Amino acid sequence: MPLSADIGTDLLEARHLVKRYAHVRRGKEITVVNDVSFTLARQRTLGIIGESGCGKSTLAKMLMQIEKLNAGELYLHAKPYAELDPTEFRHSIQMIFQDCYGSLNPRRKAIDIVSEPLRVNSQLSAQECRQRAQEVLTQVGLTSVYWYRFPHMFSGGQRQRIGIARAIITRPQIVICDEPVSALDISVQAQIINLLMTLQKKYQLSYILISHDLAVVNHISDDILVMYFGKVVEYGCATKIFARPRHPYTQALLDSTARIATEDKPKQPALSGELPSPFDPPRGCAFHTRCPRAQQLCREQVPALRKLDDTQVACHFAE
Amino acid sequence: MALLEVQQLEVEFQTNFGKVHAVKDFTFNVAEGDTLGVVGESGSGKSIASLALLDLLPNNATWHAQRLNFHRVNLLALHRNRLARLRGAEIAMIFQNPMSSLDPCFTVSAQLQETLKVHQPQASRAVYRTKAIELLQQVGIPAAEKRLRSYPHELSGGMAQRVMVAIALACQPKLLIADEPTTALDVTISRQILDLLAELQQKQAMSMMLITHDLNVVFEHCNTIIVVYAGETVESGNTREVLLQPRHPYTKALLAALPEAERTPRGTELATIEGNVPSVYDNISGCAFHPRCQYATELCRRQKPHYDLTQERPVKCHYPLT
Repeated sequence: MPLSADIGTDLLEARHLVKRYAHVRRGKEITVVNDVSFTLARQRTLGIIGESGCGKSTLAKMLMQIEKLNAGELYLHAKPYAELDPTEFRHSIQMIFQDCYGSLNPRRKAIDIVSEPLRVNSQLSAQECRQRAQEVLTQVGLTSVYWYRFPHMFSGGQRQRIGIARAIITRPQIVICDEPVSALDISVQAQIINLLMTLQKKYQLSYILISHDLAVVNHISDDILVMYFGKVVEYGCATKIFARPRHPYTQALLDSTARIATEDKPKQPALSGELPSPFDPPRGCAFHTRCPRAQQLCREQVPALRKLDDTQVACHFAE
Repeated sequence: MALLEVQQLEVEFQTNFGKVHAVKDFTFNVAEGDTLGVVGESGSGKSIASLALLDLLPNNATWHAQRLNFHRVNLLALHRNRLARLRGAEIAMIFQNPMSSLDPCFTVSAQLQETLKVHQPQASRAVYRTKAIELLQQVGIPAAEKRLRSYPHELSGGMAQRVMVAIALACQPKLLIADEPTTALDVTISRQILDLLAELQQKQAMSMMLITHDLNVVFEHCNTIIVVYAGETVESGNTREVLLQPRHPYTKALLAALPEAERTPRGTELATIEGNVPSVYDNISGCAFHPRCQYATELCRRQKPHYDLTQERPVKCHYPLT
């Protein structure tokens, strides 16, 4: 068990990550993740937000070593990924998947699904694996009556609990949650969020939370990384970014989100247009095609990520 | 003046496991030019109820209602063929996932013109084409003429949903039923579609039923709201009043479960509703919400509360909150 003195030290570091895919038929290469850097400290939550197609899920897969990097470096405990023992790596970092219907094998019982990471990644006997699986299933709120059921016999919220149990059974330090609550109803969503927070405290977990629901991200994240078209447009402390978004894209995201509010607020116009095509990336700032503040400079020059009051922003006119 | 009046709508399915009562008591009105938000969790029967209005339910379903009036016409007494003519022309529908509602084998043009051909069979091909281009322009699709030749897979999610809106509006319906129209879309695109719907609704003096589980969206886009639970309407009224001062414990509990920056500071535990949404196979005595309600008494377990639509703020609860 890690010491509490570790809290705040960097656990995971990503430096200038790049992922490109080749499109064979069009004979072109597209850049899906472009120069993404961040750090994740112990028992902290990093929220990643952005529209679909901005590279969030690819980034998660790169962190999990499901996708290889084209450039950049990843460090876990200050050690480069390449030097890590594969078993140790899988023990340290796990993932909860978005689709709680598609990510559970319909032909296996809950307890087998949950114990599988241990059976693959540890020397424990089958008996011990099952015992551990029973422990974590109980922890996520599934009592013994549920252990021997098949996925189709569970509700959406319960399936997500199985996904969580499977992710925490190896006692990881980092859990990547890809849209953990987007498929759930409001009342169940609250239960799962509470469960994630409880587990975080209990096991000093660090989360990387990918979500398009800004209210959920705001509720559990310490830091926020806003991505647009494969790039980081804003990165920093959640409180600061939600109180005062600096990048026009972050502002647009916050303005687009519907909210129940007692006071009447003036309605901001919706962001026009859609993500540009990756085959034909715009010159200069990728957001200039939709940005209400775009000027000549934005069309010509790519803005660098720069620091403004502890927040990193990639915009020429962030002040 | 109510455009659509629905009283005690019930839908039953005949399944291998016996009869399933999916919709038990839906009662609501949609006023002319109004937007009604229908809010409920999955399994509450909100989609099934809207399918029943169009008589689009599968064969193993039976449905009936005390009263079902559309534009002063009693739909219950209407012959199937007459109802089919209403569908698409007077009442149109948009579904949740635009990618699966569009036919992958046909172009946008063919799918747009299909609706036009069915409801205006006399017109010429040139008329259909012009109308189709007009419709696409109306929903804000750039290069409409070029887009007519596109297949659904060539469209983004937002564009596909715009095409769905164009198809639904092809015959200028009086009522548009939108079933989770933006759930599959990103926040920015979702906002664009909702704004588009609001704009078209005003222009064409159309009424709209927005079915969703997102209370925030209803708050910003609907004038009136009904909250449904386990196949029953439990509360209705002006959206602001219902969501800012809920009278039913279920509405209140739903609102409390939402993460909201001002009310629930970062990292604090969210309020949850004990237990689960009842399965359609469950038969609950008395008030459907009583097993999960913190205020439930003996009366709630025994007797079903009455839902009085003549009140300004109807609520199906023995002990409405004040």
